[in-house]
Amino acid sequence: MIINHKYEDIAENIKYKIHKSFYPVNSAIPPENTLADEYGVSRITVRNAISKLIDEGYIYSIPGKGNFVLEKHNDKYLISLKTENLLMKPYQRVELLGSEIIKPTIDLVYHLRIAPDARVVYIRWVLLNDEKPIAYDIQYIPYFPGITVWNDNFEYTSFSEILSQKNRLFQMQGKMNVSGVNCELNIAKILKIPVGTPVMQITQKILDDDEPMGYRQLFIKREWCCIRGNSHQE
Amino acid sequence: MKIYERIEKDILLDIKSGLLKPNEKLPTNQELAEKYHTSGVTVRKSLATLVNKGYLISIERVGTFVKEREKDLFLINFSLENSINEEITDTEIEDILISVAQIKGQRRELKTLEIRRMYFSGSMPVGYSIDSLFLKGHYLTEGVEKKAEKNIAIMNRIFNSYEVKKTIEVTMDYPNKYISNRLLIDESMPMLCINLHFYTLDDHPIGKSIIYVLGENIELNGKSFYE
Repeated sequence: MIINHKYEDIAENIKYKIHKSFYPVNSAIPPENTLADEYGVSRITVRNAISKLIDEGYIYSIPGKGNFVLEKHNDKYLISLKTENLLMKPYQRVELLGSEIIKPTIDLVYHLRIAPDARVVYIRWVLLNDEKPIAYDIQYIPYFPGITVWNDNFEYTSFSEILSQKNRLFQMQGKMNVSGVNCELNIAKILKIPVGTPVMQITQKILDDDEPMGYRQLFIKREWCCIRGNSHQE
Repeated sequence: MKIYERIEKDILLDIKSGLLKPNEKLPTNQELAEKYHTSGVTVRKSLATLVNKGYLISIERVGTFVKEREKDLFLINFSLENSINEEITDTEIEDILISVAQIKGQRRELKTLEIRRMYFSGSMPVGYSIDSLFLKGHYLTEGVEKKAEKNIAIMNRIFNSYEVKKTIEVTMDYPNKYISNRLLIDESMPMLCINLHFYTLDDHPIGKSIIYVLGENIELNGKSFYE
């Protein structure tokens, strides 16, 4: 174990403040004297912490002016949320488990910001390989006139394709989130795995002019999921 | 506003409003230059920016086209410190050593500078990372442990440089027994693995990084790339 020096602790703390935008990009961090008082240490210690942060690319120094937060430029990645791009290997078959109009649950009222008595189109697909389930795709769309809830050639398409049936889209915008979760009973049943098995959860929300238009939850079995992306520089 | 910025803005507006449709061919550089009373170099500069941003595609000797936009493309912001749900209060260097590593998609092995780190939130370990910098022959490998600070600074500077392209791969996997134990996690518990690969702009591999975190401790958030 390596014992941390005081200046390292201070550097970590300043880093945290940068990450949480307490010190925004390009803003000046407090002068050495102020930091020395704040942390109750000498200026030398503060200077050590600052030179560590400069070395690590967190801040830059302008002589006579102070120290500024450097923009972290390459933490951005582009990833595709098309199902086939989230899997290790392609799926072989998709089965429609149901497509119906339901009354929203409390969760949906929250996610879709709709009235409790609104109607929601609820579409469920299971993706199979070797006739074994590998992923479960659940899509919720607040009902709008003209939406195809069901027909004979209802196909598994990308989530935003379904929503593009709605005309007069104003400003479509999506939000996504990836995390690992322990699967609950209803998901475990579909994926044929024990309750509590860790699975990857990808959620996608589509907004039109800030109003939720659709919410999708995709659960992928651990050994089948691989999310890939490339760095993107603006 | 500079001319090249105006051209860029005008074209972008036409794409967004649907005036220019996917796969549609843009006027030639010559025509655009005349329209804006400027040089071909300026036009090329504006178009190159839009190609880089993914709005246009340029085919040599054929022309510039509006790119088909993938609606499901998202921009995520990932760094361990930003994406983890807990505050990282402490980072501990577990090991710093010279090792050999396999390069993705290649059979050869390369000498690497490997740094293993553990991240803590209070007294709880929350993450483990293994960073590898592929070494060129002349890198001084003797006594790296003693010059840990300097080596970490070098690695950070290289990995965070503008001239670096990265790929990210997120999977759920089992780290080895040692890492599970260090993170106080049952070996039968899979963890979220974030694999980063670093390349030069001409696709030469320069390093990689693997980060292990418990699935429930991390969230990758993104927003759609095209709005």
